[in-house]
Amino acid sequence: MNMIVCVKQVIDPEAPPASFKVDAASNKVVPPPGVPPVISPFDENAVEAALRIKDAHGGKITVLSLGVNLLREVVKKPLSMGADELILLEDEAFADGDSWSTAYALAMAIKKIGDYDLVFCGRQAADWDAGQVGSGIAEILGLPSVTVARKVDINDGKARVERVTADGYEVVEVSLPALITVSNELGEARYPTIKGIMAAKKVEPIVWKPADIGVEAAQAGAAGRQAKLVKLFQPVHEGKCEVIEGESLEEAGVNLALKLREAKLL
Amino acid sequence: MPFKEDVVIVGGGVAGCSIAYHLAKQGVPSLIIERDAIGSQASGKAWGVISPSTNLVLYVEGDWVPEGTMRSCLSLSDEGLRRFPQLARELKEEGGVDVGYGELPVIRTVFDESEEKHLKERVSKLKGDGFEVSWIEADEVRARCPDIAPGVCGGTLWSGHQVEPYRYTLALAQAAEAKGASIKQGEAVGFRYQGSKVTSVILATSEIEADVVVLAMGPWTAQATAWLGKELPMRVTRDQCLVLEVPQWLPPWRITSGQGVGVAIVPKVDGKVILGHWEDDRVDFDDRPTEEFRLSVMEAAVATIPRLEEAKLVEHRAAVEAWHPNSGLPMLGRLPGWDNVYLVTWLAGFGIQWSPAVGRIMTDLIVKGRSEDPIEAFNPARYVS
Repeated sequence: MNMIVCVKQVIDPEAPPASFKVDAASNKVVPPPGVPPVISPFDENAVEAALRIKDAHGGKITVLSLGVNLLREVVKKPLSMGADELILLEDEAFADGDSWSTAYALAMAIKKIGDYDLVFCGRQAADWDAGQVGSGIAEILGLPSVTVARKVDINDGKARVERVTADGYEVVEVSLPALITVSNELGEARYPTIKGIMAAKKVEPIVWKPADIGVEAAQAGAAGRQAKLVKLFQPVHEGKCEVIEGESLEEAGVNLALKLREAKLL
Repeated sequence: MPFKEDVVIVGGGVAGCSIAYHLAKQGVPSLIIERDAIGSQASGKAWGVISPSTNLVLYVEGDWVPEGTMRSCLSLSDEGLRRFPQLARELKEEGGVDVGYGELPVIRTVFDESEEKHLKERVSKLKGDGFEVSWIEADEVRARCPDIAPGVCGGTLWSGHQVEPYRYTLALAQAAEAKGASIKQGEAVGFRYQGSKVTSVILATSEIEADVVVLAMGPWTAQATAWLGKELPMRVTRDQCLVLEVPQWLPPWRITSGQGVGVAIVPKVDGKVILGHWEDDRVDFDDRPTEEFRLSVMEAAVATIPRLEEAKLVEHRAAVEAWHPNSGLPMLGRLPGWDNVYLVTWLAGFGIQWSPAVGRIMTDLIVKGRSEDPIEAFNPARYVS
């Protein structure tokens, strides 16, 4: 079983909310100082899904990541968990893409890898939460796609996928090759072992530029965007507090009840 | 109307919480002001080892402790060793928290014959100076720790205990609360004073009047003394450790080894294992974990106990610690020039072990105005003019 897992390096979603800043001039998020980036958590679930299949059936896991300034100790985490190979699409030309240009570059890289049975993505990235890249890759490559998986098994050359629904789950069977996006309901990703971390340290990732995967400059990153980001801003939440008083606790209670009734809350 | 408190302790680390606990036992209520959360910095991220062997740093490493002050430091450590078994029981009853206490003897292993000779000589010198330490041969090291790497020549054996450092700090705070102390979340930003007395602690959003102020802010203590016109020398270092999940329990021996960069392997009572490393990693309040530490310490651990290779890395934590500029001396006492300001800092890597003594001595100073302990070497007046 040859598997490819797409992972994204993102700003740590657990970083303190107070450290989250938007630069209005460039419409960009300012990385919080002192908080190292992480692999998007749903992508770690996707790595775990692939590792479980490898544990049961054997196979090879290739990890694919697109971005700029990718920290090796961050993007190598899937290797330390048990993945076999790491390919980075790392070039300034890939910066600031939208869901389409990102999906296109990843799809072209997957085409270049060639020999695969399953492609895994996280259900959405923890930074933009768009959730479009996985399905976008499937569309470009003409693969069947199954989204928000909570369990993936391989049976008779087919994938049997449990999909999360609003009130439970449904079971889908899909022929291979296929693309599956994975949700957190799959269960926590395994911790890396010391052996895995030390082995990953020795692995040199393969780096591909746009030309290596046949992506034209006009199709990559910001140049390839089909959606324009008009405005990025932090919403302001305003709270109003009114202290209800009274001569006694009982009277204050009656006054509060009146207020709530006026507001049509009672 | 500002709140009025008898004693305001700034800093909810192990020192501040131990002071609040010991004050409460004397019937003196106090208020702990903590910027983040109880035990959220170095106190909660420590290894939690209490052993006379940790004193070796003070004792052997040349001029770490100035001439004539070693016994004073050792008395702080000895009180920790003596009181922890009982303290752990009391805190469970009074604070409702199991502090993860257990025995944890320490074996310092030797893999090199020249180091063996050196360490054997050191053992006889230490014994002569009254330390309870013995040399054990390779067979005995292997009997106690069957997973040790081949090639071990022997080691020194010390007694020791352990606690889970975060739970211990929290237990002190909760036991203090149960006896009348309170805890407030907030950041001290200055003081109000009259003559040589501080009258209140100013927080970002409120102000608290105080009869006595205790600064127990670790490396940040120097910032608070600066508001009172006192410059406090301070060396800030970073201490890192790794927390592992191991497939099979390691026997409860803390193994210290000079393999690779050197490592301390600390099996905790919950089954997890801490990997630590003693290094003078001088930083400017940079408490980020480093990859270099992670890789070098893992390598040293595997060279010492090969089966740790299968262990999972579940946490890599780092925190900054306060040190005397060029020794391991602590500072505790009254801030010179101020009638009602006390401080404790420079607890270095010994905060947990020293905390019972620090709480008791500071309580004596605050309540009785003096202490019978040999603490002259720790007096702030020696370092702050």
